[in-house]
Amino acid sequence: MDKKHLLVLARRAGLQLEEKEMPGLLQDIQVLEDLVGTLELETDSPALTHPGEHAEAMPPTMAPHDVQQVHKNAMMDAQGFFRIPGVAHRKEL
Amino acid sequence: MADYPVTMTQAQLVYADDPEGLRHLEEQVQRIARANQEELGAVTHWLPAREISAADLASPLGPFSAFLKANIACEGASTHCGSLFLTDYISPFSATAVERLCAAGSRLTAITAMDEFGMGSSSEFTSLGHPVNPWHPRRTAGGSSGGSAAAVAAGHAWYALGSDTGGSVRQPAHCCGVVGLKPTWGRVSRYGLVAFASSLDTIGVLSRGVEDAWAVFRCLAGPDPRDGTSLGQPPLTNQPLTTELLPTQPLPAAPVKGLRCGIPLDLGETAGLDDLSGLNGPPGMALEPALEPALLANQNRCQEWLRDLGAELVPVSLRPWQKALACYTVLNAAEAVSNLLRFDGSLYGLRGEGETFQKSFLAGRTQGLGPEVKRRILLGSHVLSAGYRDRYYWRARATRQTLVKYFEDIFADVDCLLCPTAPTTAFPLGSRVDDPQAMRNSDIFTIPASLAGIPALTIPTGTDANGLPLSAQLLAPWWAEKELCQVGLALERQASFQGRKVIPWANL
Repeated sequence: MDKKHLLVLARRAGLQLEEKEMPGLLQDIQVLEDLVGTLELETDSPALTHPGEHAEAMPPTMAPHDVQQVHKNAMMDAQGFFRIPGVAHRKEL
Repeated sequence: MADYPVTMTQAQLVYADDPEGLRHLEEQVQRIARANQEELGAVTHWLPAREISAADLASPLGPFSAFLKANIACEGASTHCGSLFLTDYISPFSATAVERLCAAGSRLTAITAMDEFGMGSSSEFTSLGHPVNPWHPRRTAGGSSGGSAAAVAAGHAWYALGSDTGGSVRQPAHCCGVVGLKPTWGRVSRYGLVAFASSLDTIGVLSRGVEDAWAVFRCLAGPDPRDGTSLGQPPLTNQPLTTELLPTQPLPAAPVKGLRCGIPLDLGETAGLDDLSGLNGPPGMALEPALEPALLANQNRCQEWLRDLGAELVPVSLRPWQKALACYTVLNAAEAVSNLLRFDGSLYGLRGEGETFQKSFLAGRTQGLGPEVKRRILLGSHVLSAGYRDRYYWRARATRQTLVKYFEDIFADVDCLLCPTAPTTAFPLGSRVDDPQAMRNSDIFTIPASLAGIPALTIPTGTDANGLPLSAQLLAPWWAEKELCQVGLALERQASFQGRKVIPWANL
């Protein structure tokens, strides 16, 4: 992650950044990267069987389709937890 | 024990045959709330005053005044979400939760301060003013529902609605010494709740007693056709928690006797439980060093109370919780960036200057959104970027699934789980504003329940040497809010904390 990438992210997310904001944001993202590095995969979860298979073809930030997909993923995950009658568990979807 | 009604349930009992006395009490509460609000900073907008009617006095939640967090839509009221972007936004409709409260006779009187769009743990990430802790004016009221919690703790409202995404009801409840109930995700309709992270958001209740929280919750809960994720939920019993005993009467032991209550194995050694020797896992548990000694002693005390009431304590490892914070950070940012894309200023909110839509869009969001929101938007965009999605987003989703499986396994063995709500008591105002990671760590004990979607309850249990509130958190299986509240009520009675509130109308 560098300033150039950060500016691209900001523009596509509808934000303008000032120069003075960037060091702090870059630091935050570094903290995130360190934090998420602690996530070890101990699962053969179906979520990992086809992760980001179209990643190379995607633009560097979210397209409108991705926004919908995030919502769909979120709802599938959350509903699947509860095994609500009439709503299929996410593993079955 | 206090000789004045501290909770709604107590007031209903005390004034059962004296509706005029109840009306007088409620009028005094409102008068004092308006007179003292500037000092507390919990309220951003007052709603039009309404006379107390005979129908109010006869309804389940009447005539008690309640406050509303600023991200829950109420027709004709400001739903500013703590954001400059929505400062002038007046909602044209009411959330299902608000409609249900009003139908039960609730009198919504104020909109409370909050962190912008619910992003924060101290209610300081907003440009619209933040509350202070009623127990200590230089300490945080917690967040993001800090305004709601501070108002309830100070006696300015009988209860308040908040929203809980990663602990935003329970953590401020802990800081302010009130009860905070986060229901199962999907139990209370989210229609009218401004979305932050849709798979985590829940509307919760802050009150001064577990019975009050239950009374409000059972008015809110139930399927709503306008929120598909609330459909299909199991029915909720409409019964009160107990036979509505006066606080001076002993609680029947039945709800707790024989209960299997999980307690943190990884905190056990420090907590000094003899029967856990040899069961502790390897060193390096991240949760333990973060916990203040007073909160560790409090956890130990609560375990003893439950054991005295006849519960069987079962050690449970919290080791999987270590990954919850990272998982939550990724998922809430990813969902937030997608939810917040709707704030473009074209239909509502701040419209920036610019010759084209794109320029206006950029200017409005840049000017109207605060630094923490921008930070999360950028983090969300980053974790969803090509090349980073596998590394962050998909990995976090998989971790979430393992956490759900972990809770499924735990609740196959125990009925509930007792743990701390936060690693520290209310921290000084301004001390974590420039340190987002320290701010996120405030939610380390509340995030796992949010990720799994299970119900959780924070109960005040005492104060530390500085007079700051301590609390316990109870977690229960999906949809088991009643069982959760029954255990919570037993713990509340045992702690006998209700009578120790410092509220201005105590001597009425």
